[in-house]
Amino acid sequence: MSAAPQVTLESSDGEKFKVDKEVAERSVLIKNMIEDVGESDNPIPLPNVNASVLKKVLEYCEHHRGDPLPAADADPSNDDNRKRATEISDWDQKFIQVDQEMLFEIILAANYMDIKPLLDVGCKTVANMIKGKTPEEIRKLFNIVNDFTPEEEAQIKKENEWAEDR
Amino acid sequence: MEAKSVHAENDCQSHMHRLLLIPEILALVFSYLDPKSLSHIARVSRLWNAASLDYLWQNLDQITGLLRVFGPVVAEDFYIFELVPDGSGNPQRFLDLAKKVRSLEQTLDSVIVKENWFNIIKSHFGAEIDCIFPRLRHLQWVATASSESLNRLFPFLCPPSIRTVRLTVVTRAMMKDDTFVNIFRAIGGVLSSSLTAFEVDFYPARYECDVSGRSEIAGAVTGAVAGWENLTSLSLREIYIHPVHAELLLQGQLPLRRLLLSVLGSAGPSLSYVSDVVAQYCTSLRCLHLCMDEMETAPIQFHHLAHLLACRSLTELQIFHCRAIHIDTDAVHRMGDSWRDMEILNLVTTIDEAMNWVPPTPCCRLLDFAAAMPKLEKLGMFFSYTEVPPTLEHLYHTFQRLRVLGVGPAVALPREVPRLGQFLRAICPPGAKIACSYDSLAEPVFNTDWKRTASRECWVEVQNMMDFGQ
Repeated sequence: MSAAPQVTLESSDGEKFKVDKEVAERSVLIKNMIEDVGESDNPIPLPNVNASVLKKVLEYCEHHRGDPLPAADADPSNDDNRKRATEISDWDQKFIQVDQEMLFEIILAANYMDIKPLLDVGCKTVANMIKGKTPEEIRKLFNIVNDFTPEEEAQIKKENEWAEDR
Repeated sequence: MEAKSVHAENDCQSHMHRLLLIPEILALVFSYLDPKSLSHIARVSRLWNAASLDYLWQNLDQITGLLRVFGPVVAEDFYIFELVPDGSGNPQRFLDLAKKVRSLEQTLDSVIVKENWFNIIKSHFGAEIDCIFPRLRHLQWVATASSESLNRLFPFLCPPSIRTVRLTVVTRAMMKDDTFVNIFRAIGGVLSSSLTAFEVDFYPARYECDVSGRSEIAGAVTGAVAGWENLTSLSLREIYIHPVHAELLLQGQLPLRRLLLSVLGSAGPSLSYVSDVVAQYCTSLRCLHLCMDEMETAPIQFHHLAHLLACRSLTELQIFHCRAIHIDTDAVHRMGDSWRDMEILNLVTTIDEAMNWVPPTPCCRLLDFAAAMPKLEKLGMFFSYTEVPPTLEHLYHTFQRLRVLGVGPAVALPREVPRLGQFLRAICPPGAKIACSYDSLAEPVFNTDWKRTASRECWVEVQNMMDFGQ
């Protein structure tokens, strides 16, 4: 009995992860790299992802290894996708319960490694953090500096007032 | 020690994660947010403002918010408002924001702005603007305007690339035929082949006029629809057209998947004719709604529908306002497995306000008929009178996939009421919802008998029978 084919990934800080090819190929970036280069024993370098984040990302890929791949042409501005669900499955919910720094690093890694479902889970989580908060609370939450003058902010508030009671 | 921790806190505050500077990621996050959250996002910072406005202004359910950017909107009375062109607004900003709008849903519940708003905006910009919403894909609009002003309003609202239009025309007493003809000429002239869905409805009264007028209106509707070669959904509610005009309308072989027609004339022959036309021209039709002429008194027989058996793509059939529906014993045999993919079947008979005797719809045979549709998920039997079958045993587990059953308004004769709950339970699998159009006769059943006999998962819900398939 032959074992499932495996590949080695190397994080930015030089740690090596040996995983099933099927798991690594949840990342479209890695899938394309393997297709381009062919199978080899050399580790695949991921210079934008550190070991702790890569470990977490691979945990996600492992759990979702059998899922059907999402359609590549899903356009978020498409009318059909307009009413988008913000629900996150129980497992994903638990998986994404990490500190803000880790959450953001996972999103960046998912974006870089092209793992669309993980990117969506991350962005939905950030969206859920924002919901129901005032502008000042949002700034505090994410350490964002207010670069509006009070007049400008008042003007924007007035312009978008219609959305307040929606 | 203390100084150090304060310093650390400051350090933390000045640090914003680089993720929050990437427009593509922000756009993805914002795409999951509601208008209220987006309006807060817009005030956070310049970068977030720029990234959020496309989403905030994408879907509007009131035009007033946008008009206020152009100028003050003041109340004329409780529900009619007026745009004041006093120069205090920012017309250029108005135009920039209007360009972001992809969906505008003005409904009957919305605030009504006096029709002259678009004349004001038009005269402000002059010839430089053809259409204020160049990216609009979906429009739901309540037309209170005269046909003449609609002629000018439509091109102003709808770009040639618009995909779906839902129009409610608020009718006034004694609205003339040529008003309707002009409305359809105006619409037909503006909307182009990119249109995939067109729905029109009238409020509050059903539109009635003489027969000659009807043919002219049907002609105008046919003329308008003819150019919409990508139309997959067409709904003409309350525009009762003669079956012959239905043929003219459909013979252009539009790629329709959904169709609502209001059929004029006596129930039997008209339904038969329309069934034939639909079967012939609408080969990919999935959903068919037919509104029959309420003035007609003949009941519908199964053979009036028989042509439709050729429409094997149908998954939803709803018929409204028929006097009664008769399905002969032979019908089930004849239909074979033609409608094996049917998921929604809804039949609604007339409510006879004069309290004349309405022939009962033998629901036992209807159930046998529906039982030949193994994928049925929703079954509506909104009959003025429903016979409860004498025996129930053979009905148990008839519909394995049924999720919703609709009954009413007068579900049974009083003497049969105690058995009704038993009957409904017999044909529904556990977990199915019972939708009931409300009626004083049905009330005791659902409040007492049904709730006692029903398993815990079953529950009762009052539902509008016209919205049954939604």
